[in-house]
Amino acid sequence: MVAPVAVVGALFIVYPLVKLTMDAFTQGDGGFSNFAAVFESAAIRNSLVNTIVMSLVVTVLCVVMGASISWSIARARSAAFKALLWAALLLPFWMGVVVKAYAWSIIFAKNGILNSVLDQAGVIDEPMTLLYTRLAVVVGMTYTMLPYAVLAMNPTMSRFEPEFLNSARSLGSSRTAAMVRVWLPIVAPGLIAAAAIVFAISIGFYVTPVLLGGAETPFMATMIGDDIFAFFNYPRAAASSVLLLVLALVVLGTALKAVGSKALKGGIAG
Amino acid sequence: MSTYVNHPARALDRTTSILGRLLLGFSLLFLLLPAILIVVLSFGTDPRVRFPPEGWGLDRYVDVFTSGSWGGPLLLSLEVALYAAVGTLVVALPLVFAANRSRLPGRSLLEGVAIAPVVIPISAYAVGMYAVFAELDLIGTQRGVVLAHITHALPLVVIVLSTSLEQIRTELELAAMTMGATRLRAWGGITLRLLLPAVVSGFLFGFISSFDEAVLITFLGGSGLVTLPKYIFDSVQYSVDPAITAIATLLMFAVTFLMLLSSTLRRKEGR
Amino acid sequence: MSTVMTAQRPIRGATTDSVLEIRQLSKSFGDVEVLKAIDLTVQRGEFLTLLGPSGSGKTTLLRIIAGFEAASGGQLLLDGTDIGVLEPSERRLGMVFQNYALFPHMTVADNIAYGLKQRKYARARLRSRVDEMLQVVGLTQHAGKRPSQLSGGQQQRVALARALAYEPEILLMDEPLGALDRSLRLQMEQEIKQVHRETGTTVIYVTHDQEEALVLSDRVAIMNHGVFAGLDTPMNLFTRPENSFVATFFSDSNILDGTVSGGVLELLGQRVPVDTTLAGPVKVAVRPAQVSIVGDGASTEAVRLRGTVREVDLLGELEQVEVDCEGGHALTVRRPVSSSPPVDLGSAVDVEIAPSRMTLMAD
Repeated sequence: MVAPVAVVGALFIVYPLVKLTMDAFTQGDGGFSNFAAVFESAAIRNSLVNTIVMSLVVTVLCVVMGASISWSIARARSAAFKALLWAALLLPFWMGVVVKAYAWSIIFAKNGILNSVLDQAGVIDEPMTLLYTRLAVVVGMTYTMLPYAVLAMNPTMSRFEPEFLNSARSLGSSRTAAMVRVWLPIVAPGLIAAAAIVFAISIGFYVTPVLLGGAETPFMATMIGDDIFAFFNYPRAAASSVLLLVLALVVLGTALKAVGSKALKGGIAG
Repeated sequence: MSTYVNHPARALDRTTSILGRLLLGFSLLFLLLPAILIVVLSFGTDPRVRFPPEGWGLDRYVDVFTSGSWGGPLLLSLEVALYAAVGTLVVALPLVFAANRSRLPGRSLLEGVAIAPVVIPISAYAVGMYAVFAELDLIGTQRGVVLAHITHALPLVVIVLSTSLEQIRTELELAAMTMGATRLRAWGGITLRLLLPAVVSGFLFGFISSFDEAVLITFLGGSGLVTLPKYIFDSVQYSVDPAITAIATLLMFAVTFLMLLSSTLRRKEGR
Repeated sequence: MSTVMTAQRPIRGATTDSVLEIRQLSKSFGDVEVLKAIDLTVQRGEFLTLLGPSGSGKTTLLRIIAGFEAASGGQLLLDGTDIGVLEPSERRLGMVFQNYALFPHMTVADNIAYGLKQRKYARARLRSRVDEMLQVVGLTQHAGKRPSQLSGGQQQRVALARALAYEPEILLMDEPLGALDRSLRLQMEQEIKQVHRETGTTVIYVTHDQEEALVLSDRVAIMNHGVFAGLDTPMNLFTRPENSFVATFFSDSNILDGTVSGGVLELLGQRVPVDTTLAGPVKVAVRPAQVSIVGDGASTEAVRLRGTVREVDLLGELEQVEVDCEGGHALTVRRPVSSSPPVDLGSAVDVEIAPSRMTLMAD
């Protein structure tokens, strides 16, 4: 019974990654030439920086907003409020990544909702260019990744002993100081695990950057897609993919070392 | 009394409390507004999507079911999702049992490998699969897309099943055996029976994960296979068909309903 | 140390050196009234225990004093100033929590230093104070460890040192020994007692364990349904309970119904003269140790009953005998094993209660 599973597992989970890595080093001129090609292309270099910087911004936003929601879920006393928080979290979670991006494109379009609301409110005279900007991509990606961040933090937040805060306050800390000195260090592993997971997933984004960023702010994934379907340069696509893979593994590995496998696995398993 | 009041600390607490509430409120609105927006817009009748809609009606829903362009992708998506969900269970069930109940060497690695794809950048995965599929002549085939979706859904389904299995104690099987049940009957009658809600839940997760998937299909589907997310993706990229709001609303409610169903099932099992 | 050890602080009476005054304090959660207009004066330096079954309001009272819950009404005066409106951090109190709530990311020394840092102690003074506290609780070698590396008793000591380090006006303790096993609990009781003597800090201690209250306290406030059922020294509560709740909860007393008229108590159909101001229906409390199983030699002044031995439990030096008496009454008897003739299960015995051993109560 286990044998076919192992075969499928090996073939469809591990083999693509192995083949990808081998191809990146052996196809075309081989060696590091494909990686050199990646870095020679100003467009890809640009998109790599873009991918990393924007994924970092998304990660920070997700961790900050996610911590707020996750913490509220953990300490909510009223069942109705808890239900509202879960609903807010899970409704967009299952919208599908394409539909999410579409929703934001309606909001951000030149004649879209945000512009018309701001116009009617007299805040702006001219519609702003929001769609096909970095802002739109970051917002759309944060919208997609926020539920992941919350789910990754929930185990840590729900385990936090509220008495720690009372304890700090009875010892003379203000609420704020108690949060900074006691809450933050104790939940930090959960936040770090969530950040690593959000970042690792974010750098692979394809749909959202295409729909909300257009040609102005390409992600690595967009360049990879172009390499395969437009330029038929598979070796370079493989090298770019390996770069993303390594980046994800380095970030996850660092997080693993920092917070231990339990927090990270708990984060993934939600 | 006033000598004990720490005014700066209180002012700071008030500020952080307000900021915290603002952050939470903003986060909630951020999560809810776009979803609500899509639902509201789906009941508009204007030829172009606008807010607030000038006319209200079910035109967009009628359009979805009559225009003919949505039917093909929807059917293909349902078919692929069904196969993918079943396939994922076929792979995940033995795997979870092997990882949790056997003494196989490297059994924890097995689960680790199955869960790994969830944190590997999906576009990197798509390229790796693209290369493998090109070798196996699977690009643009439905079989290939189903296989890719199985890989994609596997982590979630394995997590769901293994969390449940961990909670079913082996003692139960042993207890059944001490009372005279054969090993197989103990397993089938007790463990599998208790795992059933998680299996249903895993099926739904697999189904939804495939039904929503848009990246792998873009890389592996060739030009012929257009699932619903791919169709929406293409149509948003090149034109905006307002009927998308209706189909998105339908999807949202269908998926939410399925998820509620699955979590109710699992909660029942938990009691 | 020896000089303070003998100091027995005056508890009640003329002294007005009160540190905490609670006036008409009430608390409701929705429709549920948890505390009903409580009045309490805590003397400086005393060890006061709030004792009661779960749900009696004792923990709520403690948390209101600490500032974690707001009272629904009434006043809370610390040294004459109203602290009801103060944040927990502003109240100058120390608290030991049920599960200690030691900060897991800090060392033992950092935990103890936490309150000192909040009070801006200078570095040298802070360090010497931490060392001093470590010494008081005997954990000097463990200063650099994390709480998770310590045993339950050691964690308890850290919690105590942390709460006492900055010399709070009052130390609040919420069932601090609940998580420990029996032998450790007995040891910790002695340590807490000793620390209380050495520091002279006022302690308000919450527990549901009457033995703990008996051993530790200068005074015990017995709580039931949000009010004080009794408030006195352990000895007075034990020997002269005010009501049947105190009698059963604090000293496991047998409670019997009787009637008093003209200085004569009618109890279980027998009449004995008593010295009481009460009249009419009364409750009679008799501690198990005050009931005796007797031979044939009768003392005329005592209430005497025939019964059957239902259960004999060995408690150590003592044994506890449950006797089902005529008329449907069940009495619990405790007696020294060594000096008592053995009784068999199911055997018929006579039990006797001397009037001087009875406590008569209105309710």
